[in-house]
Amino acid sequence: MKHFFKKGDIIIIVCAAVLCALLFLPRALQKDGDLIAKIYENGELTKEINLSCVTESYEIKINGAVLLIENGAVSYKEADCPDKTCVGFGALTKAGDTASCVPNRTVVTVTKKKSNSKIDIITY
Amino acid sequence: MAMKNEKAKKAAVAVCVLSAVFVVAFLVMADIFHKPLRETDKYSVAMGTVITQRLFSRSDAAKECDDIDEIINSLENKISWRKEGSPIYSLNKNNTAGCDEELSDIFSRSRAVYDASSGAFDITVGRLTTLWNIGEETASVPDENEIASALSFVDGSKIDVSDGAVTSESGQLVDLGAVGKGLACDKVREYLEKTDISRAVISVGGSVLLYGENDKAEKWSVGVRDPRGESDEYMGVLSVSDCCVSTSGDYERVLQKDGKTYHHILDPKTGYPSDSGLISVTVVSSSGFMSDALSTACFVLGREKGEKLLSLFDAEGLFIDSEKNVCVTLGLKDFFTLTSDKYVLSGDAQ
Repeated sequence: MKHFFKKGDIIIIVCAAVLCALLFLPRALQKDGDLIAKIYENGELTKEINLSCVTESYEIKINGAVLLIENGAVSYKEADCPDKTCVGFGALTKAGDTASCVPNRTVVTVTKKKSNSKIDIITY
Repeated sequence: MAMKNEKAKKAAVAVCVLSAVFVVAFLVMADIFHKPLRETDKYSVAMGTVITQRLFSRSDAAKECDDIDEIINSLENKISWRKEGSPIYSLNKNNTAGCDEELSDIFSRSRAVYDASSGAFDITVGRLTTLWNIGEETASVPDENEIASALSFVDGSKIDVSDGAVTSESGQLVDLGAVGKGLACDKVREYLEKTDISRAVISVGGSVLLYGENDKAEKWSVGVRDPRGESDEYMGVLSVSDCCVSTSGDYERVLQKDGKTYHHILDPKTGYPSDSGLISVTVVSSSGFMSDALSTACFVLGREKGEKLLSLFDAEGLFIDSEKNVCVTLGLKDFFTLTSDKYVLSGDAQ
């Protein structure tokens, strides 16, 4: 083996292996059952938060609204929109839960890496 | 000896290279033939509601999601009476506007549903909807005189399309809100047909386009919102594919005044929120425009007349009355499963 690979080759191979591991590590550590909050502002996905990993509640500001991030839950805490429908959605706690603030053009949805939802969509 | 070593080394390198080629080829084939379809999701806001996109394809479909958003925004700019510069805005302001083939088709199909529903579906309800303004901050219960005055402008038969122009009667306000979301579904389908995407589900504020089958090559499972439950609760599941599904319900936008609840689906004949005994109607059709228009018309007409209307347009439906009885048309019966014990499935639909 020593004859086939020079020292430099081995260093490159080890570096490549470490790089691959680093790239896939976050994905591998994310459990299938983890709840992920996806936050969209103006149609763009701006934040993804693993709610299952939240140890202490905190707030984040998005387009004219404040989201409360808790362990296993996300909710609109307040917003500057006139109707406050978004706040009325309450806490999103399971995969498929979605809340929106139409005047502020924001949507928050909760997903799982592997969803076990029995339905694809809801008509309303 | 050195020669022998050199040969062995070359052979080992060749074996390594060949093995690598086989492994790469296997992984590529496995990726193409066995990898589950990749899902690209997007959530955005347009037409005053939430747009949910779930596209399934072999590769990332972010561009297609963005294109779909653009298509819906562009449609909104064309058909919304609120958008300054839109043909509908001009029509409401000047009682005449330029009308291309697409708009002409929208007016023509609107007239067909207006005639078949004896005016239960009417795009000239604009005066009434702006008077009530249900769902907006300025919503209020109008008095009888105001309603009578607004009603005098409601008459879908006065809309005329000819020579590339549409005209209405003085004072009339056209509101395509009852078909906008369904139209968006149709436009998205036209776009998807030009792409490599074979499976997708798009929800435009609850009007749903089911494009192809789902990612498991089965019919899509569409939950029908529980009209007396939370926004994420459904009372039954429809198993359908390659179609559009729209629902009209009395829970979507409401005004509460003096202990009374007023919903947003107005009866063009009375000027008041429809009181047909139904609390929700879901319509399945090959056309998004039709599913959207017919769900509104059926909600206003009630179950019996609604069923007859659906049969005229080759559509199927699910009716829920205020007693929580659920009635499903014959063509949809085998594709609906009641999942909530709060509702009773009745078996007398035709």
